Amino acid sequence: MFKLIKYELRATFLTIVGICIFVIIANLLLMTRKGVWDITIISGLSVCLAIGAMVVIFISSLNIMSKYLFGDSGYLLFTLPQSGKSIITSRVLTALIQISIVIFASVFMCYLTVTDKIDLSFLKNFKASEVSYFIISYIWGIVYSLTFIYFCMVIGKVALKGKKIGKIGSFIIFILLSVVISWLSFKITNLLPQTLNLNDFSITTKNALINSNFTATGAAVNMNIASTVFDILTFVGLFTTTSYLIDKKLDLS
Amino acid sequence: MDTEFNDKMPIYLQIIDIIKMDIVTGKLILKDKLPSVREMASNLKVNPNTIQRSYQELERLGIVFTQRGTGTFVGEGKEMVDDLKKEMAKEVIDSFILRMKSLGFNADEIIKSVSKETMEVKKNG
Amino acid sequence: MDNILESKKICKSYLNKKALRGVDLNIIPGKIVGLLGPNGSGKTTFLKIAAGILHPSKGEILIDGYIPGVYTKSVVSYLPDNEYLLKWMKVKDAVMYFKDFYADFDEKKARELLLFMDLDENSTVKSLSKGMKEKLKLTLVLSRAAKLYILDEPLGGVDPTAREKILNAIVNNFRVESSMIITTHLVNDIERIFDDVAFISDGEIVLQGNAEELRRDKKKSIDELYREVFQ
Repeated sequence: MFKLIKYELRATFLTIVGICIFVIIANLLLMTRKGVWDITIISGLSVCLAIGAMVVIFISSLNIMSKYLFGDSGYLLFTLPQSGKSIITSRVLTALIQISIVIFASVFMCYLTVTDKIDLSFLKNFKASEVSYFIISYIWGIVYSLTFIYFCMVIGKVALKGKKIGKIGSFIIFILLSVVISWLSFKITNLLPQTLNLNDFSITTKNALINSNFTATGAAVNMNIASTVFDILTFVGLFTTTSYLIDKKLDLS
Repeated sequence: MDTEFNDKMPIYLQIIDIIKMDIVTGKLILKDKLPSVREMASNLKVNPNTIQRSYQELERLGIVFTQRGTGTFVGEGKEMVDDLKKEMAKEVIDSFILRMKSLGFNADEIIKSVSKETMEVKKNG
Repeated sequence: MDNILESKKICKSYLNKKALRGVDLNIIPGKIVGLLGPNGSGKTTFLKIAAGILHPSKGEILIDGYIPGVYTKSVVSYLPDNEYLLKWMKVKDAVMYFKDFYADFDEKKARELLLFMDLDENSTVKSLSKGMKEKLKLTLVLSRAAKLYILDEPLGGVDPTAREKILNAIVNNFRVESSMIITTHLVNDIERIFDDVAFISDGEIVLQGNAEELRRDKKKSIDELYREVFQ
């Protein structure tokens, strides 16, 4: 599995470097406009760059999988003696690494562009627990959404033979499944409103008016237990099914 | 070695003929080592199993013998070369006679024309 | 002797057509088998099922006694008909890739074959001509000590000199413990390499047997038989 990650990173090395260099240069150019343009415009553009870069790298991660499933490079990958689990895990982790690199570069450049002086002392204000919670949520968010989309892609390919139909099918499944899962998550949150306060690990019952499954009020971060469990189970289900499909049902045209 | 095979008949038989020919013409002498199965297969671009079969058949006919681990060698019998020569000549002659007969020659005519042609060839060197 | 490949009534159906209609084919170790048929006869479909990238609709196929999966992929060396080499790689990267993922890959043999095929380690895959790409693909596939080699049109679109080299490499690679199944249109060039041949038409095997026996019995070359069967 780690070998797969190594080769995938090498394959996309130029893309990552390209995006980062573009972001860096564009931000440097923006910095030169600091006295000249309005600061809000500069900030706005910088943020746009960051968002743009993130979107590009995210879509690129999806595109790689699409090429494996619907194009020729899949022949090499799927004839390797690697299990479906290994293939999916390495793909998701590689994407995570690539996305993280780009995000870090973009956000850092954004900060440099926007700020007047480089003062990283504000970092001291963050608590270790908040930082770790943030990192875990970030990783969870990326891993979950990638797995979800890859699941839709694989199901689309397996269920509907043919390249064009398979891709459209994947998209439709993505929409449908998103709706279904969101709805279920919402129902569960309302049905079982017990939440866990991550700061002091106390369990309270949140008012049903607050619909989200995680809330952060001031210093407290709360998450709905039931929906979190649901999310984790859903993830495991999606992951396992995708691996199974790759092993047993995937037909390369 | 001649690599022009006729794909319409079993190749292993043709390989046997080639080896017999080499023995008769002296290209291969008694106790000479034949190329390994692999070498032959590679040179002729033929399946190694086919070469193997040829060697086995030649061994069965007593023309070659195999020493495990060392290789396949041309037999030792001195009469073997003569016997092979006669056997191959007979094949050529038999088919020649058949063809001549189908052209309408009788036995005497065949002998006469053979003598005449052989003399011609001798004269012209 | 146990079969390296054993297929019983393998069927593969798509929405609008039946690619395979019950293929029975058994291969024992030490054989080179030719799977011959025109385009659309189902030969590539069958090979893909053996390689594990296609799954049969019906029937059973076993490679070394196992259903196609992670294990069989480790003992099957598959040469597909299409361009599957990663374009960012150099020749030496491709060699390393195979070495990393296949335990039975022989790096020394690969380098020897690359030399034999006149391939430069440092060339990029992108810069290679079609013939050179075929030679590279074959080098990678034959440098593995696999139990079953599956070659889908190894001579396709390749000039005669390259064909010579490829045929040579195939013959030299023969091992008693392994077998090969090869498909081709160019029957004439390759028929002396086959132990057995199977003619496949419209998803079914219409004729199979030992090549030498077929020559003896039908008094025809395999190439002629091919034309006859598929005229």
